[in-house]
Amino acid sequence: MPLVAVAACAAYALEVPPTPSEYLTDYAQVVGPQQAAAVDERLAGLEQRTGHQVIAVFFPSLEGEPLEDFTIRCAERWKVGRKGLDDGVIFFAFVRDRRMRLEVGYGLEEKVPDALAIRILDDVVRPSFAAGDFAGGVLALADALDRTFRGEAPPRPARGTGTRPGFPLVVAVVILILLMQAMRGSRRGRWGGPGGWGGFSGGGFSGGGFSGGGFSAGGGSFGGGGASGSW
Amino acid sequence: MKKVLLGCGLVVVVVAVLLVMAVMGSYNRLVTLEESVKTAWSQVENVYQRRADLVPNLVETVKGAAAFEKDTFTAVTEARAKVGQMTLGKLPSAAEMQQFQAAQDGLSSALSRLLVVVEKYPELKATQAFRDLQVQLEGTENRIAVERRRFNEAAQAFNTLRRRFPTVIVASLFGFAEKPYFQAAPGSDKAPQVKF
Repeated sequence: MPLVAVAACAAYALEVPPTPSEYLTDYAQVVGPQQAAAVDERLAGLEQRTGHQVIAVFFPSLEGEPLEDFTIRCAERWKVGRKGLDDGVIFFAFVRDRRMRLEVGYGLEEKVPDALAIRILDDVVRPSFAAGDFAGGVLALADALDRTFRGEAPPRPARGTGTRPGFPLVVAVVILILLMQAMRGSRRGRWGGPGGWGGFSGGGFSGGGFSGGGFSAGGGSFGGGGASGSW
Repeated sequence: MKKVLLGCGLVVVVVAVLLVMAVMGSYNRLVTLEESVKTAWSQVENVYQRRADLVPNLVETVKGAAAFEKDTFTAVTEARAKVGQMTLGKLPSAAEMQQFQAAQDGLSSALSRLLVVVEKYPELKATQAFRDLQVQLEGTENRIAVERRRFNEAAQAFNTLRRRFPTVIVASLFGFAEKPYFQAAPGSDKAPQVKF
């Protein structure tokens, strides 16, 4: 019987979460907020300097899913790395299973071959993870990748897709419209009221890319390269 | 009388134009999906080639420590030669697909036996050279699994469109052949055991 993989119809124990909006996403809650900010900053800086997108995601458990199957599904959905250049790297860690994987995009398979990926996992990340220092492990990973990427052509703009620069413009237009409506409808006294304003701007844009930080995937694809390790 | 004829003629022309447009639409969709299948196939051949390229290095590394296992080396080298003869470069027919898969499965089992042999030489397993090759082999098997799945998905999309009515008429008119799938070998739902 032909075995045709129809991904949409299969029932998986562990579902692919939505595309990360931060460089470090911690579903396992093993990294404190200060450390997370430090890691975020380091990985954001890495993208700024080299153009390659590197993100890290912590999961509590694999829930019995095969490691490489799950990570490639995530990589295909999230599309980290620049479109066409496919230069994304995703670091996965499954805390209870003590397993990790570096998923390397098509475009980086020469710079970060499988043998280098396993060495980074074994020599750079594993010691920190074994000691329980998850943030430190990811920082060390960022440094190792940075050294690997260095010595290339000057970095291109980090986000070439154009959606980010557009965001503030959209917000400005919306604010203008609301301003005009407020001025038209209500009495002078009420226009300065904080109630309607505060609620709107707080709820609508607090979590998103508008804040100036955050990660947005570039549309890159993955071919299953990289390496898996444990600690 | 003339008006009726003119009216009929107009209707016929309109129907003909609509028909041609429908045929064009189906044909173009089939072409697009077929190109996806071709691209997916070339990716598959790429990753299988990558595995074949690892073999000489692997054999040399193991030979150094396990010179007596001549049979295993011969088996692997022959399996690789068979695979080398099977580079298709174009989309395979069902028969060609079977041969292709058989050749690749042959190399898979020869590699498995080689790795079983290595079990007997722990000092070989520990060398950096072998560990690097092991990682590369695992990585290649993973890539093979990914590209095979993507090929099957592309082939399925094409085959589904091709069989639907009325696209099926256009397909048979222009000779769009059904694409074969990768079959899982009976009893194996994993790549050859490379992990120690």
